[in-house]
Amino acid sequence: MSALTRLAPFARVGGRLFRGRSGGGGGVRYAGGSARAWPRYRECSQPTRSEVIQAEVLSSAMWFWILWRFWHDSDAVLGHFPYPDPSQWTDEELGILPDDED
Amino acid sequence: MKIMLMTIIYTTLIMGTLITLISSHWLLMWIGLEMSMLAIIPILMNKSNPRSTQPATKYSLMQPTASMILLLSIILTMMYSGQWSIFYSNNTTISLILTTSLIMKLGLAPFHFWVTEVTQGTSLLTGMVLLTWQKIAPLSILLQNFPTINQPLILASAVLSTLLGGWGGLNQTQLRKILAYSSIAHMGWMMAVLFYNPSISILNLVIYIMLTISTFSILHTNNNLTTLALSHMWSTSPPTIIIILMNLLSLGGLPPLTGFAPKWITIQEMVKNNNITISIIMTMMALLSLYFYMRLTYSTTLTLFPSTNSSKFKWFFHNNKKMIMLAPLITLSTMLLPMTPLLTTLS
Amino acid sequence: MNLFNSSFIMTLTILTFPIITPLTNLYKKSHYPGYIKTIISISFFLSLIPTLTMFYSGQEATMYNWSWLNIQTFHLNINIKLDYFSILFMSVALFVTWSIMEFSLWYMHSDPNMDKFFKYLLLFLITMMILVTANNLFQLFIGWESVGIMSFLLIGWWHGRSDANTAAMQAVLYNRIGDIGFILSMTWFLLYSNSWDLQQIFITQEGTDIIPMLGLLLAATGKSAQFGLHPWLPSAMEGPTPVSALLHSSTMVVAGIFLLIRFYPLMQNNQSLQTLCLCLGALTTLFTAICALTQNDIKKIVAFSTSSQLGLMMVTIGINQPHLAFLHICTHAFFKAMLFLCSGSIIHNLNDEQDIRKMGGLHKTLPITSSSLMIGSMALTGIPFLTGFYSKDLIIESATTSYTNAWALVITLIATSLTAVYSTRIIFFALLNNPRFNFSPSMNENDPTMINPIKRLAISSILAGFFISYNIPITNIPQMTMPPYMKFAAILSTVLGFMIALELNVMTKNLKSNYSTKLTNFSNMLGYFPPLIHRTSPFINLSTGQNLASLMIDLIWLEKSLPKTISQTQAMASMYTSTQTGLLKLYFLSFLISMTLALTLLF
Repeated sequence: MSALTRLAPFARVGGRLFRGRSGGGGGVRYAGGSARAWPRYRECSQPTRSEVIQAEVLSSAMWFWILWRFWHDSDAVLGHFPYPDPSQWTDEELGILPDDED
Repeated sequence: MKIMLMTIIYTTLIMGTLITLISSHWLLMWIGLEMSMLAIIPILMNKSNPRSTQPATKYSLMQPTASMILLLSIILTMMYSGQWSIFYSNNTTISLILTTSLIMKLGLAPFHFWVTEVTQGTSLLTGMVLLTWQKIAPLSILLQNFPTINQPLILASAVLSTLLGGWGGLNQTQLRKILAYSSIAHMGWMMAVLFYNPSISILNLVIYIMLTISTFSILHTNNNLTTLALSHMWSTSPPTIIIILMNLLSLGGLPPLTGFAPKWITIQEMVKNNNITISIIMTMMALLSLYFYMRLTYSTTLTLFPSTNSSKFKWFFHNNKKMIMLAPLITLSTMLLPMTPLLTTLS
Repeated sequence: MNLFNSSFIMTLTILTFPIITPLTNLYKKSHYPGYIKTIISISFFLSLIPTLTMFYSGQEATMYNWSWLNIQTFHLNINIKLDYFSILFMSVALFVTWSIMEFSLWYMHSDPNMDKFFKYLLLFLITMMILVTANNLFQLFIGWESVGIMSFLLIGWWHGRSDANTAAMQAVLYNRIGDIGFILSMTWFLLYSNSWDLQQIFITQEGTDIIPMLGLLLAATGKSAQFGLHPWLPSAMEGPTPVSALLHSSTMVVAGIFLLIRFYPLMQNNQSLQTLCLCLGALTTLFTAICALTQNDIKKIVAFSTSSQLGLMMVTIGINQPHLAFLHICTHAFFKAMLFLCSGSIIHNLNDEQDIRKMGGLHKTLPITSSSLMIGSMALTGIPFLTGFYSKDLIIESATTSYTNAWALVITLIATSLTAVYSTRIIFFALLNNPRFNFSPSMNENDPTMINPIKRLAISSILAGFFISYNIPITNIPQMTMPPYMKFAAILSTVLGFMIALELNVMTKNLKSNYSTKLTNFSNMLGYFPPLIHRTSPFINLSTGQNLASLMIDLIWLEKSLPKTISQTQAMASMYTSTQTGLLKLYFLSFLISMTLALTLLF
């Protein structure tokens, strides 16, 4: 069960990711071509908001697709038809004559 | 006085061989051999130092022994046939003793030890005489008696000679010794074919003598005694390098040169007589000889042996020694191969 | 020729415009990469026409265009197959490539050879199009090999680094092993069907012959990085991230699976090959999932997850569901491409930092990337109603309800739960907790060329599976009912994986970390596979070669045994026979001995 509790950070990470970089940040943008390239002392460059949103859209699209398909097509996972249990079959159904009848 | 003495000695040397060549009386043949043997001993020691006394002693011990054995065979022949002329006997003992004695006189294996020692102990020109002129008389006796010669013995000796000549030369840096071993090997070739066709032996001998004389003459001109001296020749006499190279390769018997002819014909003759095994063995043994000739040419023409700096550049003295006949001899000893068609007259 | 064929041909044709136009004066001044991106988007929209036609009327077609070569009775035509597989794959691939191209505009903006890079990417895509639309093996082979060549060029894009070169070489070499199988099958079909046309092969062959099938399996193993030939796939991460995205989503690696899908009429008759596919796929999916668990390079984790998914596709082929495997290829392309683009965004924003241990807290600074990464990971793990669910859940249900290899099934289920584990690991290390990186003021995600493709792919990762699976023609009947434990097996194992991963990741908050265990090392060292295959086996081969060729043949046989022996023998003989020549007694002794010998022998 501990493995499941370790899934919790994933959820937290997801929430945090939505926040992304708040627009203000460094204020002035310097040369370098790319949108997030400005120098920060001992700090990773932050993703822009659009990147974060795109990433979250992708992930949520996946989960939506999985859940939506599961809602409509759960048979593909759980089995289309119940598997017949031969032990439940009776001799009458199968047309087998009783043993003592000759 | 000295000139008088040398004149007599050299005359005796020449006369001895000539007497052997022209006589048909066994005793006279023997006397000719003895004469040239006795005459060469003073020549061997004409520089009276211990180094020349030693070969003279060795020579005068070996050659009389061989002569005595030869005399034994002569006497046995006389007793067997009752005459002094050459007689082709089929007596095994006589042929064995005769063959052994002549092998000993010629310095063939296994009696080859003295040849190198005696040649090394004398001057170049004396060595040349020893290895060329002195071979003629014993070989002529062999040629005249070739039906009597013991064939297995002479073939064994021939193979051994080429083998030991090759092996001996591998281990040498002294030029006179190398040439002595080369003489042993060449004698082996002559002996191998002697039984089948004596004319080829003569051809072999003639070409061998030409090659040896020209080689010795070149060495004598520049007074080279060692391989090292030979490898310094480039600084004094560059043409000599080429000549030495050609001569040595000819001695080794490489095809475009004269030396190939006797080997070629010898092998052909032996194969003709179904003696393939021996000819193959001897051809292989010729590789050993060829190897040390090649090594000489290699050190002469291609590399510089490690030596002190000063010795690399010899002071260029004016050369007083003039060897007559050097040019024609060199020509003959290297370029005679195209004349081989003439050899059809031999057989 | 109706709209279906012509729009399809148009789709293919306009892709070649950016290759041709730089040779002319038409587009000298335009921005070439942007032009390519636009062309691909146009091509995508054009490809929707045949796709929607196919959706609503089930139309398929085959186009025979040009007779290329006739060798007696063997004909090579250029013919294009417009069937369910090629049309649907083309739309998906174009959509994904469009996004990747657009992303590359941002990711590779500083590269000096950007134009060339885009042209390579485009060629990569075109070769894949050739591969999927081919109706004969020859065309398929052209696409197959060209994909390999382009992957070599793109993985080795940063060829200044030796790692990149090594990775490119690995990709090529491992794929060559697979090509052996492909060529084997081509040869076999040529011999026994006398045709490379797919239709003719399917008519004449029944697939019961194991040899061509094994060849195809080997080809697929090489191209799709199945176990045994997999090491090149994680190594290929040395290439630029868009290349990885393209390589892993819609080109190269799915080509192997696609080949097997193309040949399913033959595969479904061959039980033994299906078993082989099943076991191979299960092994791959588990092994690579295990390897992914302990990697620290974000791209390597994603790469191993691709490998694991490819294993799952192979499993699907193994249970004889090629259409499901193809569906998984299509859905997988969306979220895998997006995962790579997210990794690329993170890597680029952190100044080329790929180590997840040095990330953390990115949900704050890179919100869109984080959201998309989570969507992609959830789609990958098969959370219901996201794209991955529509193929993955079906695959696992088909596997559980089929009477198949229980071992492979269990392994696949374990791998499924491990998918959740390593996905959670990426999320936990990269997105949550506190930052552990040296941040730069230039971190941002407001460049539309970077954010639009990711958003587009994120939305398609949510919706595409639904739209595709509800619109495609019915290819196989899904299992409608099964026992609840089977129905819940996939989801339960995934949820279990998530929970285990959360528990495990909490351990990183301990101050003291334990020494890594042997199991961790096994996983972290990729199962010791690369050291064994790339170090040990070449070492054994080379040292055997050295021993045999150099030491045994050269030194012993050619040198020691003949020349050295002869020369030593001769030198020794020469020494013995010519050293003692000065002794007089030897002279006479030699006479005595030889005379005695001769006389003894003679008499």
